Amino acid sequence: MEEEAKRVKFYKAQVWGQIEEKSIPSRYMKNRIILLSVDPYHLFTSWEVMEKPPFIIRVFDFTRRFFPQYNEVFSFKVESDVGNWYLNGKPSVVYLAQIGKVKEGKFILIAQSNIVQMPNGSVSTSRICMEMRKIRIEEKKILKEEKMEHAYER
Amino acid sequence: MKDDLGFLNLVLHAHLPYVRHPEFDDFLEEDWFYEALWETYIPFIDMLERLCYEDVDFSITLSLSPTLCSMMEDELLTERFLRKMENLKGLIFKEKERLKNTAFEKSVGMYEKRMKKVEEIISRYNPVTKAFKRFFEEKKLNLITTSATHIFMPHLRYAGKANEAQIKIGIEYLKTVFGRRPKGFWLPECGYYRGVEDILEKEGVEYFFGETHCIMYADHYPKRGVYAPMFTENGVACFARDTESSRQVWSAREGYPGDFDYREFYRDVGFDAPYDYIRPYLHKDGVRGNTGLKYYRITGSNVDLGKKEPYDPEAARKKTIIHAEDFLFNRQKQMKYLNTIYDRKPIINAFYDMELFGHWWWEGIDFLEEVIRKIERFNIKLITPDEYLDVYPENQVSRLNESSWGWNGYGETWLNGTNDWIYRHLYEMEDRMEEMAKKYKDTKDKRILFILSQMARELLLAQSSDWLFIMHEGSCRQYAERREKLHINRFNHMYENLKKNFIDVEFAEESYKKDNIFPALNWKVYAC
Repeated sequence: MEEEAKRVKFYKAQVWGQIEEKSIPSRYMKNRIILLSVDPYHLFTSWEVMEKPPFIIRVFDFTRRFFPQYNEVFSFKVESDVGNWYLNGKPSVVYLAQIGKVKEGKFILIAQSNIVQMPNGSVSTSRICMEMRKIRIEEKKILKEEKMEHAYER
Repeated sequence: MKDDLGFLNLVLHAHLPYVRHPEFDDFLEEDWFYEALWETYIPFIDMLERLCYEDVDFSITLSLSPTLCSMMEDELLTERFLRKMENLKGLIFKEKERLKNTAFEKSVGMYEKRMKKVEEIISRYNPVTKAFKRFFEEKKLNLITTSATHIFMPHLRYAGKANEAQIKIGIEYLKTVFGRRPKGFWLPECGYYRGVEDILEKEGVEYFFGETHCIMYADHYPKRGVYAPMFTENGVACFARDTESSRQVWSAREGYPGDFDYREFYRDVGFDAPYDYIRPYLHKDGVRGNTGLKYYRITGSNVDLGKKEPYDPEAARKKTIIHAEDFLFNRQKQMKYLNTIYDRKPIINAFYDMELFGHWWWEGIDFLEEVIRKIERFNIKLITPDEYLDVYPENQVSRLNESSWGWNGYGETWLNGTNDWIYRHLYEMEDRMEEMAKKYKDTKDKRILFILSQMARELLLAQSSDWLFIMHEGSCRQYAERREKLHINRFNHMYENLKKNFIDVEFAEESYKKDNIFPALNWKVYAC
């Protein structure tokens, strides 16, 4: 009985080992596109689509947020259903990407990315200076305690 | 205080990735932790004890990462560290004989002393986190923390609750160990993005640390440069790094650590001594490697490793005094100038990786001690961010700039051709975690609760910025890739079984035996 348990345990440990070592999923069976900023001048995009390639990726300048009258900055064709790519961008601009197909001259959207604001990448020209005073939580608390002590003495 | 020229905000960031392999008796990458204790943390604790004993007035900020803290708290790793030390003690004993009346005798004496310190300190503070607790309570250390597993936040900001969970779990863990919630937060790799302050504010965090251009490239021109903090719009303060003070200490070329009298890092007795003699002190696989005993000094720039000269501990010690005074002298000059252009006393924010001191720069802790002891003489006051905000509660407000202290100042180190393949998995895992957390939010089944908490552990460990960093750097790359794959696979295995309503608690238990970080982890943060 004990030996049997040992054998099962050993077998399981082996299977577990195999799970840990196997290759990671190549597909997650969903339509998705992610857009990230690498630095003020570069973007990274990663996508997975459940259809057959080719696809079109369109990148929009979304800085003014006049949706849907946004400006397409550029678009390009991709030949794989799972992939990633680096793109050029500009500091402080807000971008959005879409992946889709072109059918009969029309763009059919499959997935849309998150929106990314690029880092500024240089010193601001704005000379407006706002100052703020931080009232800290404990400060408030301590004041209250002092008052109570005072009241008690009276 | 009145005569002070300004403030020095010294912040040390202590972090190591979670490496613990109970399944192997002797694991190479665990050495990172043992070396860190022997070279950095034990002498650091020793320094704090000495300063406290002598009643020196100081307060510095230490950011202790939850992963490193977990390793310090772990019994198995502590036991293994002591075993390592026992072995090293044997080697030191033998070396004393072998190197008697040679130029290396003094170095052996230094290691012998260090070994005594290790024994003393471990006997007083076991686990070593107890020491930090003590200095935290005595207000000598302003103890803060970082995210649970040191995630590089800007790149995972669109992954659901990834950053929120990392921050919450990290802070919660520190509270369980040290009994208090930290007021400050270290953004891993100083990786700031707009919006992280909202999560920090919810967690009661009052300030964080950013790279220089986090403030310099803010939407509004910073009136006082990086010599005063800036508030984000919700009132969380950002203290940004001063470039001058960091270069002097960080740079191996221009900085102090490259001085010719300092100890050479790469020449270890593990490579030099006769093989049969050194064999028992190497790893079980018998490959030559570091033992921790190094007897040579840097000697000169571009000097071949074989041509290095013997190390002299006393000469090196003297250099730390000169360098500490030089450091303070330069800060003083800097402050005198800043006083002429700004309307208030400047704060110089000096941030360093804790392991720079001791591990990379053997004499670094002595340097720190000298700085702390002598700073008053230079009319500079050591200050923590809390204390600064008490003195100057009014500060400029702006929207800050996304940045990091990595290569080129942004996110390239953690997102490039060597490691970008990982992101789609991390994004997917986050979705899957939230899906299951929501589904089983109200379950009472203990087995499912356990599986979910282990899934969260695997997810957190996969999110460590360290693996991405190592892949980028190249050395130990295979290990980093294996770790990523392992956590992704374990996570997905549990997810898929749970999705099929197959409750395989044994697998989760087995995984927990190996990766038992955050025993009281609350996965419900993924469900709200």
